Amino acid sequence: MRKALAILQKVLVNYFFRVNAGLFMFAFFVLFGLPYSVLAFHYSLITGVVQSQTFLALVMVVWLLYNIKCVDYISKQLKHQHQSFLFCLNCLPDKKNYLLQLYVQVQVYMPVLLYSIAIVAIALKQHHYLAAIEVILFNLMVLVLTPFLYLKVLQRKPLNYKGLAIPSLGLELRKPYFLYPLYFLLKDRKQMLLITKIFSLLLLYGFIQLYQPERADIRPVQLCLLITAAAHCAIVFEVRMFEDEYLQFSKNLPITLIGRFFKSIALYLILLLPEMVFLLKGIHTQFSIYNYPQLVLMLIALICMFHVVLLLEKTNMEQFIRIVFAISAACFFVILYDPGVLLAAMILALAFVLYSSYFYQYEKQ
Amino acid sequence: MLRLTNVQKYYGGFLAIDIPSLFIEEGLWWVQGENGSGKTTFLKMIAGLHPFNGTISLNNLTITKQRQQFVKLVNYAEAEPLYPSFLTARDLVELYCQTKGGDILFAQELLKQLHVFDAYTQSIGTYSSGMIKKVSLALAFIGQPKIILLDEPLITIDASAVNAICTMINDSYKKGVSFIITSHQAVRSEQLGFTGKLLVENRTIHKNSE
Repeated sequence: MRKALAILQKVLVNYFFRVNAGLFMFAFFVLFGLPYSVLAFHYSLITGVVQSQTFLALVMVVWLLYNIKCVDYISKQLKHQHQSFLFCLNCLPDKKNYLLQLYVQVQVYMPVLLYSIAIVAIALKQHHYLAAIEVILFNLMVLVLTPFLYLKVLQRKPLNYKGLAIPSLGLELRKPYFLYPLYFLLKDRKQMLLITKIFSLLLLYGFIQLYQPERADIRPVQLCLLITAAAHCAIVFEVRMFEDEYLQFSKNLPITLIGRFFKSIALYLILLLPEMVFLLKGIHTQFSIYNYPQLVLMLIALICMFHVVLLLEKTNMEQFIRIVFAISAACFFVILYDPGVLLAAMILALAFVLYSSYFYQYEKQ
Repeated sequence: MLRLTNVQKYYGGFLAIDIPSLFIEEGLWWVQGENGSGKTTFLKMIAGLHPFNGTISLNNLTITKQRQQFVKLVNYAEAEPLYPSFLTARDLVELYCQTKGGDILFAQELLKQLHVFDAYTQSIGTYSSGMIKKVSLALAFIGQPKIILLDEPLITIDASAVNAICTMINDSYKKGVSFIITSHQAVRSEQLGFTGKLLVENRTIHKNSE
C-alpha cells in the first residue's frame, strides 16, 4: 500500500503540480503578491464570502471548475498508455483502491482545502454557521465522490463524460499550419485557456469600467496590457512545449524563418482577438483611436518576446515566469516615460532577431 | 552529392559524432551501427532537425546558408514519428504538398499502397503506431527530393507494407532519388539492392570498405 501511494504520488500528484506550475504560480501571484497587507485583504475577501450566499456560490463554482480540471487531468493520465501499469491496482480490494484514489484526490485538491479551512475558521469566528457547514459539505462531497470517477476510469468502465468537446458541424475544414497550437489548446488545454481568458477579460473590463481618466492617456492602458500579456505566459509556455514535442517534423519543411515568425504572430493575433475587441471599449475615454494599433502591437510584441525567450535555452516554468516578470517590470518603467510606438516596435524587432538566431539552434533535451 | 565537412555534434559537453570528412555519392545507402551509436542523430542533422558544428552540403547547397532550398531536396521519416493527435493524414499530406511542392494524388496513391488511405480523414489520435509510421513514410516521398532519409522504415509496419515500402524505394531510386536508410532488420538483396553501407562506430561515420 505504501509503495502504491509513493507511485501515485510520483506519477499523478507531483506531475499534476509540475504541469500546472504556471497556473499555480500565477494564481499565487494574483492572490498573495499584493503590495499591501495580504492577510487583511484575504480576511476581507473571506468575510465577504461568508456573509454573502451569492459570493459563496461563485466561489464554489470556481472550486468546481478546479475539480473538473483535476478530474480531467487524472482521468487522462489513468487512461494514458504510459500509465497503463497502474491497471494492476485493480487487483487490490475495491476499498483499498478507493482509499488510494482518495489520497490522490486530497493531494490535487489541497489548494482548495487549505483555503476552505481558512474560510470555515473565519465563518465560525463570525458566527456564520450556515456558510461553514456549506463549505464543509461541499468539499466533503467533492472529496468522497471524485475518487469513484478515478476508480471507474482505472477499471476501464465507460464514464459517459465527453468533457468540453468542441462541437463538430460535420465539416472537414482544412487546418492551417499556424493554427496547430490553437487546436492543441482548444483540445488539450481547455481549462487553462478558459481561465486565462476569463481573468484577462475581467481585468480589461474592470480597468475600462472603473478607470475613467479626465483626459485620454495611453500609459495606464499599456500597463494594464502588460498584466494581460503576463497572464498569457502559461499559454505561451504550453504552445512552446507543444511545438517542441509535436512539431519537430516541421523543421524539415521549407518554410522561411520570417514566414515562421509571421505564423507565430498570426497565431497570437487570433489568440488575443477577444482582448483586442474588448479593448475597443476604451476608445475615447482611455485612449484615442489612433493609439489602438500601438496597443495591439504592444500586446503582440510582448507575447512574441515571451515565446522567443523559451527558445534561448531549456527553461522550466518557474524560470520562465521570473523572466516574464523581469521583462514586464522593465517595460513598466519604460512605459512611464511614454516611449510611443517605439517600445513595441523595438520589442518585436528584438524578438525577431532572437528568433532568427535561436530557432534552428534550439534542441529538445 | 552529399558532403559532410568537420561535422561535430555535441550533447552538452559530450561529443556524440565527429565526422572530419565524408562524401556520399548518389545511391541506396544502408546505415549500420549499434543502439545509441548516433544513426538517428546523423539523419536528423542532415534533415535539419538537429543543430551541429561544421558543414553539410548537397549539390553545393549548404543547410546553414541555403536552408530552404536544402530541405526541399531532403525528406525525412522518423523511426517513431509523433504528430498532433487532432490532425488527419489529409492535413499532413496537404501541408507537405504545399511546402515541399508535391502532388496530392501521388501522396494519396502512396497511402493506398500502404493500406492506410481508408483512415485519410480520421484524426491521427485514432491511428495505431503502425498506421502513423505508414503515414510518415508516405510523407517522406512527397515533393521532388534528391535524397530521402528513412530511420528504421521496416519496423512497426506489417509484412505487406514492408514489401510496399521496398517497392516505393526501388521505384524512386530508379527515378534518381538517393536513400540513406537505417535498419536493424536484415534486408534481403532482392528487396533492396544497397549501393553500400555507412558504418557508425567510435563516434564517427565511414563507408564500409568491404
